[in-house]
Amino acid sequence: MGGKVKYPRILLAGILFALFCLAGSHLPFLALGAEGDVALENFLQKVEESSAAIDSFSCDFTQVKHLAIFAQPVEFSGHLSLRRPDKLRWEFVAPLPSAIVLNGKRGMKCSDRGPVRKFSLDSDPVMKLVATQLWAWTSGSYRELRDDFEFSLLPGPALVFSPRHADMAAFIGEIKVLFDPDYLQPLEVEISEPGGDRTLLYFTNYRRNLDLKDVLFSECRLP
Amino acid sequence: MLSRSLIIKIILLVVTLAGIYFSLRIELGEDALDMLPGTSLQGDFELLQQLGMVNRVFISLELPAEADPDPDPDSNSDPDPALLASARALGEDLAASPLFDEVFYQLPEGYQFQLAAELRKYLPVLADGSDLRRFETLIKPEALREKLGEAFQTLNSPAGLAMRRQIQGDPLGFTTVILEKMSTLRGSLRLNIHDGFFVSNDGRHCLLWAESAIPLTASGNAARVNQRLEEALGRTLQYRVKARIIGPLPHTLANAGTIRSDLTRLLPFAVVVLVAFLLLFLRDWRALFLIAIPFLAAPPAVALLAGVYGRVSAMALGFGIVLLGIGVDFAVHIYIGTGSDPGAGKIPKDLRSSLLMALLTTVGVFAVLLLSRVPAHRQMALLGIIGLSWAFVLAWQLVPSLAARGRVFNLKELPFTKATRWLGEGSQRRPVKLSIWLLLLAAGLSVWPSLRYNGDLRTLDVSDPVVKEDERAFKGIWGGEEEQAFVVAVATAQDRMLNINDRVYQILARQGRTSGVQSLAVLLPGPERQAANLARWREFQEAALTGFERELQQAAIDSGFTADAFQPFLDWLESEPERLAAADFLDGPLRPFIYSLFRAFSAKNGTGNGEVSETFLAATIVPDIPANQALLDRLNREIEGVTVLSNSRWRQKVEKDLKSDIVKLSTFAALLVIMICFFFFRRLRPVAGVLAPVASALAAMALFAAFTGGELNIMHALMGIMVIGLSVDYGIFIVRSCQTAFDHRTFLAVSICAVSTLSGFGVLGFAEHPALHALGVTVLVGIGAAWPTALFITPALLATSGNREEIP
Repeated sequence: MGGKVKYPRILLAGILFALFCLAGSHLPFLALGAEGDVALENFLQKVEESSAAIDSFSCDFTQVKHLAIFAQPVEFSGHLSLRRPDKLRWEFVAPLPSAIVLNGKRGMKCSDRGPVRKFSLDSDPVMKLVATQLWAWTSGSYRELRDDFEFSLLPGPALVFSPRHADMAAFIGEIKVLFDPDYLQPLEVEISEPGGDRTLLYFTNYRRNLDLKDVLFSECRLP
Repeated sequence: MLSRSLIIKIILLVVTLAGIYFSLRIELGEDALDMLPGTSLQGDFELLQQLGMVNRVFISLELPAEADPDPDPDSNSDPDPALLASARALGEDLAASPLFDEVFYQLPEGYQFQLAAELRKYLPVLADGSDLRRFETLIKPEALREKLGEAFQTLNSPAGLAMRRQIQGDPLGFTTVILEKMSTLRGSLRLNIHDGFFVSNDGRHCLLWAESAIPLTASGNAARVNQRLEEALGRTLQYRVKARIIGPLPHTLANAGTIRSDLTRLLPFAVVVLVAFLLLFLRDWRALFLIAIPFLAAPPAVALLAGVYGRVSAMALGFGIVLLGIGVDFAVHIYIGTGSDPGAGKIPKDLRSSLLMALLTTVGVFAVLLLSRVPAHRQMALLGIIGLSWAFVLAWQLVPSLAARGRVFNLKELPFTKATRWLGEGSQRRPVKLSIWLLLLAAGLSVWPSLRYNGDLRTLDVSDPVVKEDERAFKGIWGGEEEQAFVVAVATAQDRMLNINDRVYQILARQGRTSGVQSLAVLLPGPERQAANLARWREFQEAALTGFERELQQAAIDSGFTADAFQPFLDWLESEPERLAAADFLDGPLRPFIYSLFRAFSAKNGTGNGEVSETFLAATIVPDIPANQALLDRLNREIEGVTVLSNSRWRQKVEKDLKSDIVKLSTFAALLVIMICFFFFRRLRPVAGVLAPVASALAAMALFAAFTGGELNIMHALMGIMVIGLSVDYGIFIVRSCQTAFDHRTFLAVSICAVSTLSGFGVLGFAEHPALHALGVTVLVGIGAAWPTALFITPALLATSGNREEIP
């Protein structure tokens, strides 16, 4: 016999080889990931800088809901008004007028069907989720949302947000925001829900650094 | 061979040492139950303990506004992050401590969704007749279409994302109808929930509550818990955030602190006065040994008390040992009486009979106290009987030999001899003395009917300004200005207890008295009401929901939905309803509210076979206002298994029970003392002479009480019994002295006893603690009147001037 074959040693060598190959095969991804992180950071930085130059803005939007429980996609349209750092008015004009006003941690909502209802984001989990979404789509301060979402950057430029926590993941699959390449403000937002439902938002007609009236954020009156 | 005297002394030493040894190992109980009369009141207090009310600590955090020092408590504003961060850190810190069983500071994240899901699951057994009527309105075609229209709008708003499942499962808002009723869990508490924290309307205060794992009625435990709290507050509160602690804890600490401060301040003074007095009058350092007699008598008495009762009440021990101070009187009489006959070193025969009589009357008074319905009084009585008897034995055996070695009293050297001779001569100015005395008795008698017995034990609670201010501020912020009554349902089966609790709430609801009421009944109906609700639900299903499926589908289509958009709602309507048990909600998001009103206990049932019996309790909190009194009485009377606990009812009950106890005991004590006096003296005059100091003491105490508010409390009554015991002794010694040989040494001995009592106990009249103060002033006033009466009135009543009256 030319000597005993030492199976354990062969096995060990095999495992080491496999680990080496595996590690090697992942190296490009790791490198890509690092590059992606840098690109993402750069992009978020640019968005923030761009947003910082815009104290306030308003725009029109169109929302299209593709829900399984709707007989057909439903289109709503309205206006968005925002004044940094914490005031936002989301107002549907057609077909059913209603509005949501956020002012710091407080807010109110109203429609043509009933009285104004005030809320606190600390005590109303639904409106807290609403506020999180609205700021996520519009604020430009995306880095503040990193506790709640993971980000990835896509060409367009577009950002994809994925919820980090199960409670939010129960409602939101992912949010994709497509930006205006010049002003880095959202042009389209697509919200995908875990069951396949989708909401699309199209923002147009941006007007920047306006003198928005206080009453927009202190009252919920509909025109 | 050992002499008889040496053997006796060795026995005394061994007993005393054994007493010290065993008394250091006794189990001390600081249970407030020991101070309550009768089993029903004790049962009431036990219920409060079992509900966790006694061990609950409320912590109100406050972040004062810098700009607005006087904020409007009803202005709605957001809480400062520093306040909430402090509340979270403090809550987590306390929850990690083994000294706290439960700490509530924040509801769990997503509690609203969890609660809505739970309520929907159990809705058929939670919805009562009025709820079903609202459901019937909601399923009418017009309302249905309006609700679906709202749902369509909501789903198209940004809120739709979070609301879709809820709307699909409950498009008509049935759950909301039930949710609205949950406000009864909050009762009269004014709190909002911000991010799960309990926050005041003005947003500047945050509430936490915790339950101590160890009883807070014991001062040692209270100190430990307080120290842990203080450490946690120091570690966790952010800049400018302050805390107020409310509950029994600050009261226990304030009382313990005040008593400690009083005793530290006053006891050295009392000891100095007593020592100075003994040295001044007896002029012999050996006389100081007399003070040691009660101290030597206490350990065997405490050890024996522990042998009889097992656990010794701290209250009984504290006051009992104070009462043992009377034991010094025997030693003083023997020291002075024997000192006059140094050659013999024996107690004179006349003095012996006086001493035995004094012991008999004092022990008799304490024996009567053994009949008290208050456990602490019974322990105190037994301690007094054993301790005073042992002090008597010690004084009898040890003091004569001490006196024999001491100085011989020369009558002429004695201070105040002339004065006592003049005043003590019964015939001297007899009409004047008797007139003054009768005037005192008449005045005492005239005010007696106006005196009121106040059984409220809170009158003995120290009035700490910080505690008072914290409580005032707490009520201003969180509500609860009105006193509260606890209607407690108790049963050995949870189902039965919940049924009883339901009946309570239903009666309150029928009478329109649910305002400010905190009850579990809405969330946890008993099986009977669940069955009734379920039966109604089935009727609703059959009657109202027939054809509803088609109606809903059509309305859905008309409102822009698919026909099967609300299939989850229809599936739920047809599903088999589930029954509800306390455990289903106890671990849910409402635990802080439920746990404060519901408890379950397991304990071995005492049959010895290891079986465990369970007890279930639920409390309904009702404002204890005059308008609710009749209803509370009715609940207590009519529903079996219900006990109403309220301060007003409790006060009345304690007052009634203690008053009857004290009247009964005082009568027995008076009869016993009179009987003993008649047994020994057999003639009216000497008996009147013996009782004269007692009558003076009672009259003076009545007058003092009348001039200081007209109220008597438990301390006045207890110390009154002691004053009677002492006063009788003064009378006995003086009468015997007058009958046998008019001896001024007896006057001196009585005076020394009186001054020692006044300095030892009377100094407590300067205490800040109401209980110690009451104790002190009772002794000051009572002995202050009995002493001169014994010296001047008793001889006058006997109308003697040194002439002897032989005992038959």
